[in-house]
Amino acid sequence: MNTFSRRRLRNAFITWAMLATVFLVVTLLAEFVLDRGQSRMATEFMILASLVVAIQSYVGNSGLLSFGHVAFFAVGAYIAGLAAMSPEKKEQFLPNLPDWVISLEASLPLAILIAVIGVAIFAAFTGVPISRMHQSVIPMATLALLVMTHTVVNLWDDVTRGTRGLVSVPDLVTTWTVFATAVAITGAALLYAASPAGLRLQVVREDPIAAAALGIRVAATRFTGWMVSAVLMAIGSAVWALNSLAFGPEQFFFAQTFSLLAMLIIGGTGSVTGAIAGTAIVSVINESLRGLERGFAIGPIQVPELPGLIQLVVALALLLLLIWRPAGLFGNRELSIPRRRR
Amino acid sequence: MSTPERQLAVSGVTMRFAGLVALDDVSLSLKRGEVLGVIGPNGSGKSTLVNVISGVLAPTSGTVVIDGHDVTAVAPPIISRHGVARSFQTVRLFRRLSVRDNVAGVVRKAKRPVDQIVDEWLERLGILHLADRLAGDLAYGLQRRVEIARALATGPGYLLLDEPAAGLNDTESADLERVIRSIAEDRELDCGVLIIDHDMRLITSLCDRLQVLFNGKTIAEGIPSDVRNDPAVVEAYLGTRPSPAKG
Repeated sequence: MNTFSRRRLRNAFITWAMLATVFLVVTLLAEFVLDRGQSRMATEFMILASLVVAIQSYVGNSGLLSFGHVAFFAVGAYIAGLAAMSPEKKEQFLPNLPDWVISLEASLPLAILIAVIGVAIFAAFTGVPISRMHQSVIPMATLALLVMTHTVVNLWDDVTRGTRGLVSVPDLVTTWTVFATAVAITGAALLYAASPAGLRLQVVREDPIAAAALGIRVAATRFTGWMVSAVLMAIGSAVWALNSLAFGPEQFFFAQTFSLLAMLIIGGTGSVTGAIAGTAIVSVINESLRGLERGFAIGPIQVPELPGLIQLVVALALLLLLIWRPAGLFGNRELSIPRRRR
Repeated sequence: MSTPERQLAVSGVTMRFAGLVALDDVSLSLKRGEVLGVIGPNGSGKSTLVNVISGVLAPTSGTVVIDGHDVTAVAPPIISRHGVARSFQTVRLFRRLSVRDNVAGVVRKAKRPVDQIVDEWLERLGILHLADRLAGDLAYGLQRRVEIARALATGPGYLLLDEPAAGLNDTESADLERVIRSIAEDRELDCGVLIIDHDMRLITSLCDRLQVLFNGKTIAEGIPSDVRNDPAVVEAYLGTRPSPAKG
């Protein structure tokens, strides 16, 4: 344990406490103040923030953009959804599933556990070759992973119901479970970044050649980050699935990837705080434009439907940010208390 | 089983790149606690030699043996675990990490808390007051020190410094000299230092022994004062000018 830097751990715990407080405030508002629609938004924000933080734990520490995390998202969501669906519903909608899958009716913790195991196996198989690649081609390889996964999910009718998607997924999630998930994933991401393994991944991000010359095994270090991140992604995906009740393959493709990565990049890939702030900003843009997208009236003038307005604005915001503040709003900085002079 | 001799031994290393012979049958040995200088004009094969020892390049022929272990053409991280640490000719720091994290990131084993170990190295290199600064923001001479602190934090038995004085002014260069001397003389560290440079002045005052490379071949070796007066060295390396250096 001597290799764990107390200083880094202390900073991580401080940031964790502050971010947990933010989530607590959001949860309390959702539970006691906001109306039903707003409360649902607050819950969705915390779930998305969990997913973006999970992506950040790989992308931020490794400096490698990953499009493949939405593949983990898909795998985790489908596994959790299938595990939790009632046997009757599975019999009805997915009669060709193996019997042991049909008879399973997992509770929330069990559904999360199964999703974690499934995604971890998937991530291990894909992570070994990807971690050994040169950093210039890794993002492309993760894109291939996304497309492959989408194709499989889209076509594997017996398991995923193809384009029709899963329905009748039970609602096992409360605002408080979402709160607990967001706090747990945020804490895990912060502690990983503060750990020796997380620091090594940042070192590899900065200069893989120098890192290797100083004894760091580059591929193994990247693989560890990939796995940590995949497991966090699986937890978030399972909670997302059991909150969404119905979903299909289109929810795990380019639009989703763009949306999650835009949240991450706007906030700043280098920090967990940035990931959460970016999620909040994009969520606010989404919500405030949703009404406009359906068309609106200014006095007597009727503005027609504006499909794609949200994506357009988010893309523009991302573009402007990359011009003026390429490291994102928070860069590498985490929420923390002002430094004391020693 | 007898204890293998504690030294870094390069034997008969030849390195060919598509027709160019960068190293031609070069041998050297570096003992713990010793400072060996390898000098030679640009293109004489010095950096290639460091790259072969540290595993970046696999030699065409010849061997590299560390403390009795043959590590020829072994991957850099494993060479590092055998106790070889290096710096780079163009400083390669982890630029967006703090000075502290640059050093902490490479500490593998720690008998004491890592923060303490890191602070001690920074103190020793005289950069503790810069610990929280981003490494990439430091002046060049200070970056060189961070690089040496970082190399030492891996706990090396052999430290390879590739042109450590390049780009330093006279004061910085003299400071660096003291630091390197103190490393080599530190019994507890038990570390040998290999310095590659073309700056005769630093190297002759600092090194116990010198080896001169020219066109990939060793043309002279011995104690600095002898080597400097060796006719082959004067001819090949210093040209016909009188020796510019004072010991």
